[in-house]
Amino acid sequence: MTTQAPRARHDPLTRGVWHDRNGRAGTILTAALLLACLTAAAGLLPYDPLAQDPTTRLRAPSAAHWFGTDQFGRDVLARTLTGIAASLRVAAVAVACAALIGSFLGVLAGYVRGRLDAVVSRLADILFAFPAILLALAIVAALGQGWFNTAVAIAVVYTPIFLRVARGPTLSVREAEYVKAAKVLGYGPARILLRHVVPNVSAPVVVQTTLALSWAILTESGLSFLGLGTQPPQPSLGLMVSEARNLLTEAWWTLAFPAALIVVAVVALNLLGDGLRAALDPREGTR
Amino acid sequence: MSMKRRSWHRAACAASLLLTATLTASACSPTPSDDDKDPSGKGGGRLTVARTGDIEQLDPARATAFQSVQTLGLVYDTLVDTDDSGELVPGLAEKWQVAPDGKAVELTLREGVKFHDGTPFTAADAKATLERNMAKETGSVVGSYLANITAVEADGATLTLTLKQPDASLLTALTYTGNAMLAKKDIDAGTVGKKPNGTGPFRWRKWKQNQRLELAANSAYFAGAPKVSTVEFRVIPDEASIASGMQAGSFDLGILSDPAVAKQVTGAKAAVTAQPTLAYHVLQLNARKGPLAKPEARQAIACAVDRQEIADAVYFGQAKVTGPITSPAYPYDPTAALPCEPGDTAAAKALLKKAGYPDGFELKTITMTGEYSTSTNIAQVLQAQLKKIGVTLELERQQTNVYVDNWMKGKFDAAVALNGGSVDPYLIYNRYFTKGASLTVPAGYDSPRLDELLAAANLTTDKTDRTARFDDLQKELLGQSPWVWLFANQVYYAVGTDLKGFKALPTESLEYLGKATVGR
Repeated sequence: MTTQAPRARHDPLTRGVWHDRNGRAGTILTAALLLACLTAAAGLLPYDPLAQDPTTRLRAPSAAHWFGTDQFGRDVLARTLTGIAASLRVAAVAVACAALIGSFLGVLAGYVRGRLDAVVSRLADILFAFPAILLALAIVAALGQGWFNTAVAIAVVYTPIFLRVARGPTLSVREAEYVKAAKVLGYGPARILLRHVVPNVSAPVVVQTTLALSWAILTESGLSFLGLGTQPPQPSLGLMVSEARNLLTEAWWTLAFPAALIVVAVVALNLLGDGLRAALDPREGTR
Repeated sequence: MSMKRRSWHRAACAASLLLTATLTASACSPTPSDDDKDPSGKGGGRLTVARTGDIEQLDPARATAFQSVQTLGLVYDTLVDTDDSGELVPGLAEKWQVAPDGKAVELTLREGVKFHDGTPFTAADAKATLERNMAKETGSVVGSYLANITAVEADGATLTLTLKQPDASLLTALTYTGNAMLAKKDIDAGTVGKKPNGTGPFRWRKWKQNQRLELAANSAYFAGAPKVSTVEFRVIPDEASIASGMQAGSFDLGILSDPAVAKQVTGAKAAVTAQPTLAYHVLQLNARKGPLAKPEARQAIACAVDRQEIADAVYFGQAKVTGPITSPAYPYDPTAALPCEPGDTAAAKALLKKAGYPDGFELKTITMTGEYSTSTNIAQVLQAQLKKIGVTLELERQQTNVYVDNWMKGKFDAAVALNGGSVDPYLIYNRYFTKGASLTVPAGYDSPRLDELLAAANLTTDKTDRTARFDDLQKELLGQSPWVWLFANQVYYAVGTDLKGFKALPTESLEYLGKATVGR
């Protein structure tokens, strides 16, 4: 790899993912989730996720309420779908910030080396030293509740991961002969970074993005479960699990569906990540 | 606020629950070993009580957390006691006599009572205790209830209290564990609060902080020795774990506050008793600022709230709707004096229009996370109900310490609160609505009329007269609607099948542990 120019993508990325069994399953599941989110976001659900109905309290799943109703007579299906939309929104904003800032700093640190690299890498080490959920908890506690602050907290936790993922390949690419050749030809650092380094770094970053999304959903659920993420009455998967915990023997559906959706979302994004890795990694064979 | 419980452990428990992706509620379930059951081998046996918090204080005068009050109430006795219906009955004082002008109370003390260390209990001990509690530097939480006493005299078995003015709530104040009788020699030696030494049914044995506390039966107790040899309190921070512990038969008694958790206690080994307490859930309105300064705006909210619907949703229909006065000896119609029927949205809207806010307004509403776990649920139903008249509750969930701080400073438009009650209505409201009292800021409302009504009610000792005056107080409170009273709090006692003779009380006292048996 170090001796050849950036790998040309012979087959389109989508086809590569689709050929991979995991990638296909991940794509289908993620698409289904996104569709559900869009339905919820567009207000096309048959029930308002916040509307209470004292006459239909704690009803088991039925034709009218597919996922049953909760303690306040709210439709669990509507709340679950709105909840996954809320979780995905937080996860997407958080991971987008983390990926952009983290990879930018990683590429810069890896290419420039020297003092900048030392400072940036040590800062990342410090952030790494904290357990992820604890760090996120501390940041939300300091910033205050709300979905955007939750996203910021998760972004801070994931930035050093992207930084490392981007910095590693940059280190090897900057020593590659085609980069040296480009330098000899007198190309500026901006052109070298954009034309030669970034394409090599993008594959691991893309894979990391899907994995980070699934972890971000878990973290958001965890924070909401502990009362620091999404605030009631707005639904979020973690909050729903937290609220339903005490109703377990009484109304299993209030807990089972949001909990299952967390699992589905995490599995979907992980499978998609696997598929992307298979499609993007040149060492994975010739498919 | 009467409730103070540690919520961190619960949060930690909850965190581990999530992180291990365990969806059952029994992750932190304790498993006591068999040698815990009855190490003494003697008859009577060991009674184990599980609760979420530990005691915070060994000095009865300074104890505020209700776990401390409950526990110290078993070790110490008070001069006057209350029976199951809240009426005054003799305690360490056999009888008492209020002077005709109401300015003196003469108590005749029981003879032959001994402290746990063998010292006899005398009127000198009672005098020293009351004087200690009246002294500012003691920091007694019930000291202000003794403010009318000008002199305490001890003569043989007689204790005479001289008062500035008649004080009808004084005898009730003497029933509080905060005014429990201490030994004079402990007060002089400064050992109060270090090792409890009372006259109560149980002696102090050992205390391992945040884990367990053991009391031993006082075989010389004047009202009859307890039937069990040991009472052990266990601290189990997660209520769901107490519930599963009860189902496994690990405890004889579990004290729960969350109705949803209480519902989980099923099976052959335990049954749950729901006990309404003197504490009450309330939506406090801050009438000192914004739209709520208009009485019609507050009345509109009081009308729009359907109390029973909240009780149905949050307490599964078990909580009892109440007016301002929760004292069992003073029963009143909870909503009679409201400007309209509760839940009447049309009337509420008309009132809003009259107040000049036909489109409603927004209220910053504080609720507590952690120990007062039902507050957010109550707030969510309130939010949905008030939305119908255009009043938006913007919820702010706060940790206990943050909430209490904001509450004390009156930093809220509305607050969902659980406030402590009393068997005497005067003791419930004088601290909020008497001029210059300790909680006038969080009360968010004051009026000369309320101040007058409270003072008048405390001056008379005649029961009928007092009842009439408190009726006026209740009418004034409901009519002006400074707060929206919802329902009495419930405490859930999960009682194991081996525990016989235990009875829950509205005061949350555990005095029946002194009469209960554990048969195995």
